[in-house]
Amino acid sequence: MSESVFSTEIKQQMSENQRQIDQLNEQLSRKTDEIKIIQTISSEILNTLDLEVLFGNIMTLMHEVFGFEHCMILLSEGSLLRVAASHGHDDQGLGITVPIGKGVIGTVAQRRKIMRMMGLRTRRRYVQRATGTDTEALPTLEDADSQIAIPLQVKDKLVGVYVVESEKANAFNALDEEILTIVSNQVAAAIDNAAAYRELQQLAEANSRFVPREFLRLLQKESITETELNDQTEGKMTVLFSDIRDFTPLSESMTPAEAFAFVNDYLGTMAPIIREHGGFIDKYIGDAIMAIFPGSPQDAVAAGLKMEESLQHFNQHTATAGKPPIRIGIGIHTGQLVAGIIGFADRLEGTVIGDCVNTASRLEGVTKDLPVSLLVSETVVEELGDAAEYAIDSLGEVEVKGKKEKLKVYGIAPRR
Amino acid sequence: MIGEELMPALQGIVPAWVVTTSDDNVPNCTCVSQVYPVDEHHVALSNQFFSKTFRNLQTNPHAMVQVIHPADNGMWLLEIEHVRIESDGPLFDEMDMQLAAIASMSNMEDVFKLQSAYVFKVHSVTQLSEAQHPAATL
Repeated sequence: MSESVFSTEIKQQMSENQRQIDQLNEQLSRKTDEIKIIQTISSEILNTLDLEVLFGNIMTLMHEVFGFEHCMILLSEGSLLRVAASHGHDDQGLGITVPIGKGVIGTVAQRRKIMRMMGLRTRRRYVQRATGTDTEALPTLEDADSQIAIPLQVKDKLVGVYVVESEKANAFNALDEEILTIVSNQVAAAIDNAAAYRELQQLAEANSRFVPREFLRLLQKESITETELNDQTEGKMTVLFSDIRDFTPLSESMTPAEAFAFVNDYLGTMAPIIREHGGFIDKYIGDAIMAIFPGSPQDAVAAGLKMEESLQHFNQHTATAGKPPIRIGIGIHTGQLVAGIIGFADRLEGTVIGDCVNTASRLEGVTKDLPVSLLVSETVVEELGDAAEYAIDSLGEVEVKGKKEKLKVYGIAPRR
Repeated sequence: MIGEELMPALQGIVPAWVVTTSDDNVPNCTCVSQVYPVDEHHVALSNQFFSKTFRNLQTNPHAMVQVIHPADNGMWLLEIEHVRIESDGPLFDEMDMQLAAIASMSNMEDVFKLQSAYVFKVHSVTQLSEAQHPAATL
């Protein structure tokens, strides 16, 4: 009899032990899963800056490893949160907004604290009964009864809210909160990284409009951040100068805003031609363009001729707006140039320097006194490989400031 | 005293019942939306409106709470004693936040405001079964 009591006790003890072992094993496996998912997410974050892909991967992982079937990530946008990604919802709800301070999600964003809310249906009914008002539909499962929402923060900045929900009344416990807390830190960092990267790209994009990529390429730099004062490179290049003839009296007949719009219209017509012919614009000087062609002088000549052609279209277009036609002058010269960064300390500029620049500018100026609008130097003519393409007229010699010898100049036109 | 198995009953999924008595021993039974778990030995009730329950507690701090487990509708009876009122701190913030989240869905966040959290010491927790009379276990 006592033996049987003893064996019953042992059996009970054994089964209790087994229960504890199972429980510990379960905890251990959960911990292992946690570490695994954190590692996976960390490497995901390092490997992708595309938030859409990243969110999808993270939410899929959270589903597979922890069984969070329905998730949403909302990004903060001023006083709103906008659904940026969702997982496990029939209707993705992308783009739906939640005001900060409204509902579980909005309140979590406002107070910057995690919230685990269960029995949502009962609670909403309670408020509905008590106030006689309907509760607002928020972007959740049709029938969500449990939600955990956690603020996504980087330092003190709220970047969004991560939401996990379930139609079950009692879906989440304190452990789930812990897991989400860990993961949310990583997600927040990822969002911040991606935003910083996007900003950097936009900045680089903006910079490239001020300092052309081609210019950086000349200096053998990838980005403007790598440039330093005195960075320079020397080489044979062609400079093209162009200017609107008599623009000052013309601009006096316009308001400043009109003049601005007119110049931008004009430059908008001319600038793409430079690029199409392998050149880049070193700078605008009012309505004047200074362009560099690192390749063959023929590129610059072709660009110059095309600019003349486009000017006719431009004039036809402005004539319909009652504007008088404009004339331009173009000067092209080839020679040794130094491209580099000039300036001092906090105000630097990329530019090209060389005698060749002054000469091209002088050639452009001389077109005022000659019956042609495109003037090139003898060096350019010599360099033109297949001169048969062009009709080249020698127009004599001009003086160039600071030079003893006069410069032979040539008018150039396509051979018809 | 408050174990893991009781936690689901303290999430506000099924409303709970609270019984208090007045100073002349008139019992009052009321329904509350949630009995909040505080720690192993304490629970809290939210005081939004100064109801009879909270008036009664001023003179008699002892109360009974019946909570229902959402998984099996099992009833649990808690014998509790009011020990303190909190109107700030982490517990208050958590309860206030939950209330604000729900109330803001009806634009009632200014009406449904947590006045204070009433904290109770839990003296006993009893799982009720049909065969048992609650009084027998106390």
